Amino acid sequence: MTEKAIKVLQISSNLLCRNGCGFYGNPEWDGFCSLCYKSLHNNAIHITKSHSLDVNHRNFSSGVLSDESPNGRLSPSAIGSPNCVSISTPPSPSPFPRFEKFEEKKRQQVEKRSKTLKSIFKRASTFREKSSSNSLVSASLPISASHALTSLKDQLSFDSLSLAGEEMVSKVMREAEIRDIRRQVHKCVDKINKMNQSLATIEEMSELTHEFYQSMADRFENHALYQGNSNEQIEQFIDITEKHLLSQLSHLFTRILTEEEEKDLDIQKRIKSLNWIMVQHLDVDIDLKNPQTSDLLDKAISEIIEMGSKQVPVEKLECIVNCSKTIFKLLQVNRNEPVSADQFLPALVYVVVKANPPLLHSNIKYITRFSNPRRLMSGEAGYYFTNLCCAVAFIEKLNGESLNVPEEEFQKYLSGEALPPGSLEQSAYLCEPLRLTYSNAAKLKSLIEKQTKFEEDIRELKAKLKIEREETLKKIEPAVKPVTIPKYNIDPDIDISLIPSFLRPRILQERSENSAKEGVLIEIDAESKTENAESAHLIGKVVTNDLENGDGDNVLKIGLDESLSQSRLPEPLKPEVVQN
Amino acid sequence: MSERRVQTQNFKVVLLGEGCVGKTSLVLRYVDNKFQEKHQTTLQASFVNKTLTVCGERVKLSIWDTAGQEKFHALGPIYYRDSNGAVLVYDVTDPDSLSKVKKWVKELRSILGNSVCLAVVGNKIDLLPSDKSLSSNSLISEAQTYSLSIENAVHYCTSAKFDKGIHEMFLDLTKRMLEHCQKQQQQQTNRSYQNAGTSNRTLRIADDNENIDLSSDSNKCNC
Repeated sequence: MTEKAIKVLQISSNLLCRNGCGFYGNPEWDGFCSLCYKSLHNNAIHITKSHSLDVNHRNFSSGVLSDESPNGRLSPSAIGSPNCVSISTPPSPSPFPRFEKFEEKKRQQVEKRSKTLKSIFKRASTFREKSSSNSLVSASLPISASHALTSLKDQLSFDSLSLAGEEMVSKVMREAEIRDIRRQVHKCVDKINKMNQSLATIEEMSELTHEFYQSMADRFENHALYQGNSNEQIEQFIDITEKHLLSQLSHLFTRILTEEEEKDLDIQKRIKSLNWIMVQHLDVDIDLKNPQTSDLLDKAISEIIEMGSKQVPVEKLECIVNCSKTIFKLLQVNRNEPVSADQFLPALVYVVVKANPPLLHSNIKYITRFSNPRRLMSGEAGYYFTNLCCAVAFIEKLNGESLNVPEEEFQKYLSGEALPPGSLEQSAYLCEPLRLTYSNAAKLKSLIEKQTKFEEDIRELKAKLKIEREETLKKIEPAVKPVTIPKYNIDPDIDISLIPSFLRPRILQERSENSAKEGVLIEIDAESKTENAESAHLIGKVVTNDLENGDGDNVLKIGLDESLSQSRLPEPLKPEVVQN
Repeated sequence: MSERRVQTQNFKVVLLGEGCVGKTSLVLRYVDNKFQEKHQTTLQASFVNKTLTVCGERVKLSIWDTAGQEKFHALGPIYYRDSNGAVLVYDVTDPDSLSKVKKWVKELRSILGNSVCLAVVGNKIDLLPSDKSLSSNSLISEAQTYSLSIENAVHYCTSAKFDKGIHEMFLDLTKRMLEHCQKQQQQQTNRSYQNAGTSNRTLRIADDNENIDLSSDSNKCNC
């Protein structure tokens, strides 16, 4: 609206520089030409600077906390103010542009702020609490900047609400509950913030937080609003309460950090001086040469260090749980039995010593003071957290006896005068190149093993195949042998016509083979003509038969007459023919 | 929808005992046996949850194993803070382990008072000659008379190897913790009636249309 109005004004009035120097002006330079703008701007710059600093300061202070700082009240009106000013500053030059400039800046800042608010809200709207921001308005709040901002936030929330769509429907059931949680949390945050300002100790605030958790638990138990929910949902509500509360109290962590700085440094120094500790000292049964082990150790170390970067105790606890689980895996490398506390605690001590996580003490204090005591008392996370506390306590009180090292030597190691035997070697397992070497060596070793095994397998397979082949050959030998067809020893002299017709081709073939061997080519037609050769091989019976037949002139002719020749077959030949 | 939820009581039980008295196998036996089908490959036996129903109440036991080595002895108090029960395990063949148990009992009592329910457990009875009765064993009878002499403690004999007496021990301990808890709650409600209004700083959760009432703070917020 306002910007449009300004444009229209400028276009209709004049395109020339507002200084009247004759050059064209530019809306970007407030209607001046570049030269006039520069000279004006240079005059104004130091004044604007001081103004804008002031504005910045105000915006900062009003944006941070929900105090009743009177400055904050400016912000809602600041959104409206630029309109009237900028419209009322047409062509007239002199001090106005300066003021306009200032207002412009202010407006930009307000816009920026609302934009970031929008983006913050958009991000927040992915959480399930999105709808409940409505409740913030209805909740009793001192009329302050934060109130104005939340109402702004609220307006924006309607857009994102409609976008949320179906996701919302499933959560409508719990909307009322979450709204209630948010309201309670908000009150508690207000209260704690006030305490914080009145310089209450961390302990007092922690007490209040614990009371709050307790009263919320009672509320979930007894209030009519929560009666329809299952135990699991109640658990979720408790989680939501804690996350919600502590995400708004993260400045307490900063306070703990400053208060506990000395102790943090002390423990860090202490752990640093214990850097020489080896797995043997703590009776941790792991093999650092194993690349899998050292990888898991690395993982555990990075997980425990990650704890420091998380803001909310729940997330910090998550890191501790992850680290502990990795340690369990670490202890189970090459073993299958479940890990007991006897093995776990020393391993955790070792990990803490090697990791030397920063701000250890503050983190522990923050978690104990402000996390839900129920979680710390009984849950899995509570158990691991307790173990971490134990590990830290152990490290603080560590002496030679607890490491099975004579006190004198222990002091020497502690001061860095001496190093336990083998410690360099062991710490070298954790140095990158050597580790790479070890892991490569291990890989090579396993490869070699595989290779030799493979070779053996091949050899075995070959031997097996050989045996198999022989056996098979033995089995199939009779089948493979060429079948010997019994030969009919029929004299070549015998007339072919006397032989049954189905045997004839064979006999003829045999004869031809025989004669081929002898180098004589016998033709069927020529048979009768070579009487001499035939007569030389005459055998009694056949001869008589032959003679009975009479003429041997035309073999083929007689051969054609099968019925005759068969009936005339000699007696001894008959059974053989029948058999065939 | 308005039906009453079943309340789950949470109890924390610490396991104390010297290095090789069989704490871990005791827990594994207890948890593994009953929920075999549910149990996946056990990664750890140091922290175990077990849900039971005792006298119509749902009870969730969180069993915390502790490191039994001598050098970690000093850390005990961190472990058994806020615990409802303690299982003190000794080895029936090792007199030393019983004297450790006595040490722990003293410590527990000094820190947690009489509120903690104790179970003194003689494990590994399978190692004893089977022809004699258990009470004839001098160590066991000593432990029995010892547990009679201290308040809120019961002696049990178990064998993790043959799964003897473990379930009974935990069940009995749970019952005792439950009774104790109910007694305490009664006392507390009585006391809170007496002490109502005297405490200095309280935070009351207010209802929708109520103001938050902070006795330490005179400022009231504007609704």
